Amino acid sequence: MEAQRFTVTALGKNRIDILNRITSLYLQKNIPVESFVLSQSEDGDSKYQICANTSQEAIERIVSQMNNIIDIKSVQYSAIA
Amino acid sequence: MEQNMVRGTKALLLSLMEEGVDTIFGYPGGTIMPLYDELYNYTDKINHILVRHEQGAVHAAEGYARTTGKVGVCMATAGPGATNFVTGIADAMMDSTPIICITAQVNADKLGTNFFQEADMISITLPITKWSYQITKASEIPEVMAKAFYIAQNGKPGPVVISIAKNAQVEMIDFKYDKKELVKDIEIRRTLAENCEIEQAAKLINEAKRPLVIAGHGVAIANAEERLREFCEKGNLPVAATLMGVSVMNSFHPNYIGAVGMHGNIAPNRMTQEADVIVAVGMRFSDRVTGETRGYAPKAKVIHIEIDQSEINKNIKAHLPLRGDAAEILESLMEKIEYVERKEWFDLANELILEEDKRIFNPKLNSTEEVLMGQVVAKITDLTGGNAIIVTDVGQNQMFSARYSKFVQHKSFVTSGGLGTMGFGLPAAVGTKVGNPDRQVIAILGDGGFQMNMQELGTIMQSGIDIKIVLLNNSFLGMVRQWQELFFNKRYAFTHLDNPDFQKVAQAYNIPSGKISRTSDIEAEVKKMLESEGAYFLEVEVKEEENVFPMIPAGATLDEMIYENPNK
Repeated sequence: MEAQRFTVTALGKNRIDILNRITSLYLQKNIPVESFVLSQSEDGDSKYQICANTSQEAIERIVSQMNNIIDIKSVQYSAIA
Repeated sequence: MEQNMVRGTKALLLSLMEEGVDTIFGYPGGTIMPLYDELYNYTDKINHILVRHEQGAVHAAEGYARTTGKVGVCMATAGPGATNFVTGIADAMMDSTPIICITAQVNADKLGTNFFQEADMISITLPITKWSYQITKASEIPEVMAKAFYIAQNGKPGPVVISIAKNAQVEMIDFKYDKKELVKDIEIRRTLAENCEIEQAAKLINEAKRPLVIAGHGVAIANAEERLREFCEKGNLPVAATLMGVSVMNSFHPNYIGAVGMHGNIAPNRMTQEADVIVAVGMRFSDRVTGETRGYAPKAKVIHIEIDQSEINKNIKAHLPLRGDAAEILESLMEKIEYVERKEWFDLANELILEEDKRIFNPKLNSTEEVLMGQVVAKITDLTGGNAIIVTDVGQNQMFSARYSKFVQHKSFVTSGGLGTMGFGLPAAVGTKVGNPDRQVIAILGDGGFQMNMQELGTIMQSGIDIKIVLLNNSFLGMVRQWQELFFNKRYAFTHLDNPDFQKVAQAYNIPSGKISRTSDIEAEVKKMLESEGAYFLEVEVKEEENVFPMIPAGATLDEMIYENPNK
């Protein structure tokens, strides 16, 4: 499987365990994370942005599992050069 | 419900009762003493079953939840009490079982100080819980409990851990429980397949010459068993079950052709490879079911009826995913399904069922040299008319129980599928019986798994749990030994067990017991067990080196089923 750099952006509440549940998805698959930014967006939601180097298949699986995290509203991903 | 100035512990118990909880499996300890003290005020409203190991409590909560459809509740103290729940929580996560695990925690201001019996249960269970929360103030209790129950039960069910700090147990709050209000900001997305998707699926099924329905645990969770029956009758479709789906269909129904999987029946596995349409309902294409995925169902278009979007296209490509609740989707689909004859397809099923009878079942059932595991399971099914709830442990005992049992009622087979937890059977049977006092509950265990949670005989003795325990004793870790025989040149590395005198063990717990040593003993001893009042322990000395066949070895496709030891 070809590896690429992907950024995943999730919007949701800011609860301590959400941060850990997101990074656990990478830990579980042994995918090293390059960067992780947690910030507050204007409408009160928290934005979680994770950048990692992995395959399309793995990132799709991570995104679908991230959608199951309670109080995560939406998840998107994009490949970056 | 509202009450002023109640202690945190009372608020917690009132919340549980608001949620309809009347049973808790638990074990006290220092940090949870206030909660147990409060529980002492409610012995008329809440039945607390004292176990002998916290793992027994969590597996009991699982058995209870799986067969009643209610949320199972277990309770333990901080530190080692909480961590003893971990295996059961992982088991509930894998098998989508709704349980709430309440664990005590040190005072909020002492968190992270390595206080006596402190364990970070939230961190430890993050990957194996649907949700978890650390309560540090009593004021959080009603909202957290309401959310916990909502999350455990809605969408695909799963375990929730609620860790309650000691100070929160004793603080006073004004208690108010308005469920709707408390959960209004969580949303468990309830997708429903579009009408056009339903129509597409119905068309695919109606035009299929060789369709196969594979029903899994999701059908039981959604209480869709009747819908499934109506659906397959309307469309004249053959139905196979996964291990977790065994008993979603009456075993004697003319459309039911058996179980798929690594040790499944011949017809379902072979027909999967010939099918042109597969309707997968409430199952997740576990590797135990698919074998090597590249060779799975090569001719079929897959319609995947599934509530958890992350399971769709995870292992097997779904040509037509139908997201949502199994009962609702089957109901919509059924309206558009037509009856199609498909005589040749059903003829093939019957031919393969007869082949398995001839090749495997009949020779085994009729053999008289040594007692074979399947013979005892078959006799149990025979004498109970398929009406008992069978709870298994893990390994050969599990496979033989699935293969030789027949079921005429729903929610009658409880087993650890996804995690395959040895030691699950005995405590899960306890929880199953507590939740189903009017049904016969029979635990079928191996000598390895039995000993992992043998201490629960104490729970059975103290709480008077009427379960029949059948111990298939081959003095081996059977399934591992089978793999060592087939794939490791019979090098039995550490799989032989020197066992105690199990009759004396039963006697020590005041549990009447019996023993089967020859095939001629089977009928009388099983009958005696079934007619006994209260708990009964039946030890069966089985052939030591028996193997479960057919088998699809790891890495093999469903085409590479083996029927005997390939090294012979």
